[in-house]
Amino acid sequence: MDLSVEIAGIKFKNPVIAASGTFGFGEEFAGLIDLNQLGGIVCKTITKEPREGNPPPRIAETASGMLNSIGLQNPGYEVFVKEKLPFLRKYNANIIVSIAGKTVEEYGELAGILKSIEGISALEVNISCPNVKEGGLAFGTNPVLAAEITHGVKKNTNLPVIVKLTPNVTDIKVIAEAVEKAGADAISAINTLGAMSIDIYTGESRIANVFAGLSGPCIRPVAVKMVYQIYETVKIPVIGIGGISSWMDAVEFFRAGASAIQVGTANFVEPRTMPQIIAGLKRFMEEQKISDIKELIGSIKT
Amino acid sequence: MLQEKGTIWSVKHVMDGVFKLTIVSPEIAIIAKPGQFVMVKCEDKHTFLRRAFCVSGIGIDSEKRWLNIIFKVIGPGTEWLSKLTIGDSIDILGPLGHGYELVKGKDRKILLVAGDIGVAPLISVAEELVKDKENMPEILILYGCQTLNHLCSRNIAGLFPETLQADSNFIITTEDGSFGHKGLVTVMMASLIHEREISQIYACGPNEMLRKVAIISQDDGIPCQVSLEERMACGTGVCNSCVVKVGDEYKKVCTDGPVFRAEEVNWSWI
Repeated sequence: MDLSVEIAGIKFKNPVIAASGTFGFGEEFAGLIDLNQLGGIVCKTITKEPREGNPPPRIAETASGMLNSIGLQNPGYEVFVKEKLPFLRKYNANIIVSIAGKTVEEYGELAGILKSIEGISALEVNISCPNVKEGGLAFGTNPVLAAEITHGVKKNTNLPVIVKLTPNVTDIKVIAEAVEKAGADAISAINTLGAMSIDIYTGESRIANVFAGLSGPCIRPVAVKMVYQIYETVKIPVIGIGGISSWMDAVEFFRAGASAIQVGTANFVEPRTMPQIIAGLKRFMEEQKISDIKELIGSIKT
Repeated sequence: MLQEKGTIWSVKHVMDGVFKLTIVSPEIAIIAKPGQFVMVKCEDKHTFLRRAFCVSGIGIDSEKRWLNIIFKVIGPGTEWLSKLTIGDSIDILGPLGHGYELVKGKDRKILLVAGDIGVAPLISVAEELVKDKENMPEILILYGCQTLNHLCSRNIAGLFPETLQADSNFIITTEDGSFGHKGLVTVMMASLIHEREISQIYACGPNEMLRKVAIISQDDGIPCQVSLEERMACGTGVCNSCVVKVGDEYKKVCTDGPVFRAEEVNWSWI
């Protein structure tokens, strides 16, 4: 039984990856699950300068999900490389570093800074951050900027470049196409859905920042649709993200066209979600007499 | 951090809308410290995230190892928990966070300042302090709430270890004077802190109360630790949701806290 996949030249022993911002830098869960089991870990998005993040309350529970407006709190790339990466490297899982910038140029700069750092399997480019120059609209909503960022990162690194798309667009196929043309080696989708929630008694927004990102099982159908649309549009591999909390969800994403999946919010509720998914996939493949997980990729019947 | 399927040993309706669950959870109970907390999965369809509860009592006897949680019913999660019965399973993650750093010793005078449901972790502190009978410090429990009906009752002493159930260990205040002394618990604290020669304070309660506790303890130079609270998603330090300002920096209540030294906390920000 073969659970391995190859994405942009990186070999994953299985297609299960921890999503950015949901798994810390690996130490927190080390006592509870065996990190060596995972196909990969995407660390919390790092930026050139440390970022404080937004004032609390940063999260709110919603029906079958949650809102978050963390604000990319991270210690900056220097602390990451010195203190966090060494721990992650001990494990037999692909370490994917998520990067973001305040400007298009900063993405490329950060990619360049990380160029000679060992132990990184790939970069994931977080283009869901607000472009302050353009009134706060995410870079990823603009195909031209998304392509520019992709190009800038590609130019400054030898690592495979995965671009993580935001769903808050009219047509994700346009963005997918643009980043593929600009040289992306793979696409991961989706990031969180723009949302908000109001406390009915106080009348205040439940999140201090007002606007937040929705994640969890409630967004899964949206994510499946978008993964499928991207898969039909590009030739590069697609990594599916969005409300995955069981092996069944994972299979759904493979059928939609995902070569691998990321698990995010589910880690908060059930830290063992990823090992459970790996075990569940093995059972499913045995029952269905599937010897290679790659047979499932894009296996939707149309 | 462990994940354990605990078993409900008992569900007690302690006072109006407040429940105490005793959960047999041997692996977590054996390592849990006062001031730490657990993340509990509520299997109600209107809930998604786990709920955080301070460990409010830890015990070991010949049959079992258990921990207690005390909570007010305020939403679907706590509602679901209050309806559990003996023998039910409950999925717990913990123990989490930094608990209170306890100082023991016969010559010490410890003050526990509890505001409303903030009494929960302090019960655990009291239990730990009375364990060593030879070195047991003097303990005074100052408990305050708004009115008699709000968690406030002549029964508060019953939640604490037997050795502490004498009237002399408790001072109770209600803001409206419906029971005990009238006024804020912090006013009472300020008035007795000198005469009682308090050497250490542990507090838990609403932020407004803790801010005043911090000021009073700092004015008098008495070491003080407070347990803070902020909305949590993971409780384990990976999501960066539950931040509070300590000095100029954001710290996580779940891993850097929930217990902080009172003078560290940025009260003007809170």
